[in-house]
Amino acid sequence: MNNIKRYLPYLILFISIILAIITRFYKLGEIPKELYIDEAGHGYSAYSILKTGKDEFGKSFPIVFRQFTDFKAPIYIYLLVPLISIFGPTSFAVRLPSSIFSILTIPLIFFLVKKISPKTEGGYIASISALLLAISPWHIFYGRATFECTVALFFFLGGVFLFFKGLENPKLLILSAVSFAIAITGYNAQRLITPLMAIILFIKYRKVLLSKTYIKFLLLGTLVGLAILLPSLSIALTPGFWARATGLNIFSFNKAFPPGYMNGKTGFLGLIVNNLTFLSSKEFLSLYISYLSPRNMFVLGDYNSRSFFPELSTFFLWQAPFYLIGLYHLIKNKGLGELRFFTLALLIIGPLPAAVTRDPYSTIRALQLIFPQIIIVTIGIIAAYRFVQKRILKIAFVLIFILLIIYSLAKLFSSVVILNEYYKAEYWNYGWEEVASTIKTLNPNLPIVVDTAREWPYIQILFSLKFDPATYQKENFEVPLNEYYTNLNRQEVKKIGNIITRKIQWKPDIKKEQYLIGDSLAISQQQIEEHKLTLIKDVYYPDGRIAYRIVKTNPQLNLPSEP
Amino acid sequence: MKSKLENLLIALTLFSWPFNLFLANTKTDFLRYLIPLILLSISYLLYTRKNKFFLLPAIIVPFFEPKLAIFPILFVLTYSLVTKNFKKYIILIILSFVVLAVAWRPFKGQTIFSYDYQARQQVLRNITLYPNVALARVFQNKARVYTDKFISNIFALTDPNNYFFAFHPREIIVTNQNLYKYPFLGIIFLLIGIYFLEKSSNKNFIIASFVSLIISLSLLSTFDRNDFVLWLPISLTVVEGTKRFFAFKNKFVYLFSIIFIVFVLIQLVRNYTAFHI
Repeated sequence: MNNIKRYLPYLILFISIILAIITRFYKLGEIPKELYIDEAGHGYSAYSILKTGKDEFGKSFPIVFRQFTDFKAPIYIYLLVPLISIFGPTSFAVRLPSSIFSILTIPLIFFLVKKISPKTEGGYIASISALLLAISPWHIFYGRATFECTVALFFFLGGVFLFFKGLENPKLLILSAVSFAIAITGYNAQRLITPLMAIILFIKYRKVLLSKTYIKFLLLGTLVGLAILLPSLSIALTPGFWARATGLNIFSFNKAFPPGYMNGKTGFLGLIVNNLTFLSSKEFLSLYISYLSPRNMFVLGDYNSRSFFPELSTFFLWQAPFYLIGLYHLIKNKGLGELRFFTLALLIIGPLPAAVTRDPYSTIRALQLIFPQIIIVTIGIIAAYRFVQKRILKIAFVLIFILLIIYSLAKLFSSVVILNEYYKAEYWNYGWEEVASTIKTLNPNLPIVVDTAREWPYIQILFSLKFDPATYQKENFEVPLNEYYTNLNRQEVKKIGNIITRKIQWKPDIKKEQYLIGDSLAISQQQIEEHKLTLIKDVYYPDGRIAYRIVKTNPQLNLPSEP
Repeated sequence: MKSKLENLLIALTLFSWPFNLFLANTKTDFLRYLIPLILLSISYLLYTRKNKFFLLPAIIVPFFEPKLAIFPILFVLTYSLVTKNFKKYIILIILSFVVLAVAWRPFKGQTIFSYDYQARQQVLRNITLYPNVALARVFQNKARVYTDKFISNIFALTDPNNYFFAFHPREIIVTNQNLYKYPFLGIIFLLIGIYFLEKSSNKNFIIASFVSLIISLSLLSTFDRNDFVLWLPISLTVVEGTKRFFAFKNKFVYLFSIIFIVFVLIQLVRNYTAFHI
């Protein structure tokens, strides 16, 4: 019996890892069916680095990668380079780092929670936390597509784990600093969270860290960490480094005033009713609270249509009561020691990167919150189990819990595999692969114009066609390379062999024999008839709506009639 | 000085919701939403005086607002559960059922159980996407039409953003007036109040009224403005929190109070401006 109790947490961990592998790897390159714009961007940048040592804009080994109107953290893209050399530029390869690091986070949370939990309950809190993370819709979402946050999150948690291990073996403090530094480089939100967590840990354990045995390793770790951060720090003052943060920051009023701003109210009244300190404080606090709100966690989920699975939020609904019970126990029960400290600290700082940006509930920027919130749900489950007194009821509790896990897995299948593919195809930029394969069959001597009125599809076309990066770099110019991090201008027109991406201009475009590609708004049935276009192909979304149209112009039929 | 400041903060905090509801509605409508709250408040006053008939005013609420027809039963049941004294309230429970029967017809048409053609069609369409009917039925069934609405309501009604920020500032809710109910910094008092609720002398009344009202309102297709009745249990918690806050011996209390008062005044001017200027 004692042996069972001893090894049960490890058995649950093993099951969790298996579930994580299934939920992350099942049809990884096929579901979601296509790469959305940022995924294709990451994939093509890595492909370009692999083939030429430069990104698609011709910059050698960038510190942060230019993409569209902002810059992307480099770790994920550099991780992709060897994978693309092995698997080729495929959807599977581009999503692989997310999946791998998402799975690796499962044992990591187990060992971290076990390390910092009270010994009597540590194994169970750790294993149930790992199990809940393995089936978490939030973590699975970011583990099944190309998102830098998943990789950065692993290194952040790794840094925390190594820090706690480092309190026993100071050499590990150096590795902790390395892991923290990689996390900071890995994703924008970690630029705030990781240093904050490092400061909190330092303050809490300053007596140990500043003691003779530890201080040299602490200093060495700080130096190594700074060395890793050096490339990023070298461009820290450029607009490119801060492009994302300044664009979304609720405290920058260049783009938009805070919500509640009353237009037309000027003078003394305007000073009162449009007080920016008041409006921004209110927005910040509202955003901050929203990340802890059960309504967002269990019902609404992310506001971005692409960023959640249909009929699922960040957590399963059945976890809501356990969240409340767990929160109560976490606050009241001081016996939880370091686990309580870590969970509360991360719960408090976790929403900060997201709460300073405009979106109401951005799950990507708040992903670090998944740890404290899952630990809280776990504490709630264990507290509820302990509350049950009779043995038979305890058995019933466990059986119901197992049933809930099975139900959750079925729910994931329903949402991820069935509903997401049907309802979210548009948000996942469905259709470009089919467009690209049709392009290959068209007359190569005729030019092709791809409309950019509502999208910037050049990157999906480049990736789908596996277009030679060297040729693309030669044929296109974005900004002078010495202004790569500073000049945020972008060129609208892109040339990909005989393909040009730009807005369709009907008058001149129908006078030339060429192919036109656009969505059903750009090329409507009325325009096909009016401009006497030949329909080559309609590409459909799974729900039957037209995603894209490929047509051929017929200049001879559009000649002006003689008076 | 400290107690005067405390009273001022309590007054400012509690004033916002009635003030904004009054500004945003006609006098007749305002009165309609106010009556259930008055009855519940009488109930509370009797409760504080340990009057054994304190539940009676709450039981007659549905005569004035049929949308809350289910509230008396839930209130009496929850209170008897909280106090673990079911037998004592059995007559009141029976009486509540009679009230429900009287208010049933006007109540029924306003609930989440009224027929929703679009939601049903959505379920039918979703069923066709699944590889087999058995799996489809687990996740796509007509019961979901009601449970989804109930869950959505219950989480909206328990969301702090609803009471302190009119949901999220950028969130547009068509069926909701999105009124500012409490000054947003007042959320600190609410959280402190919840933390110390266990020690509050009003604990049983707050829990019973809040839980029963939340469930009653969640059964409505639109709870907006009818949720004004929640002013009482939430305000009692906020008052508890404010008192506990002022018990802290810290200069921060005064600093926070000044910021709080300035922000409340700005919010009140904003609300008045929005409706009248």
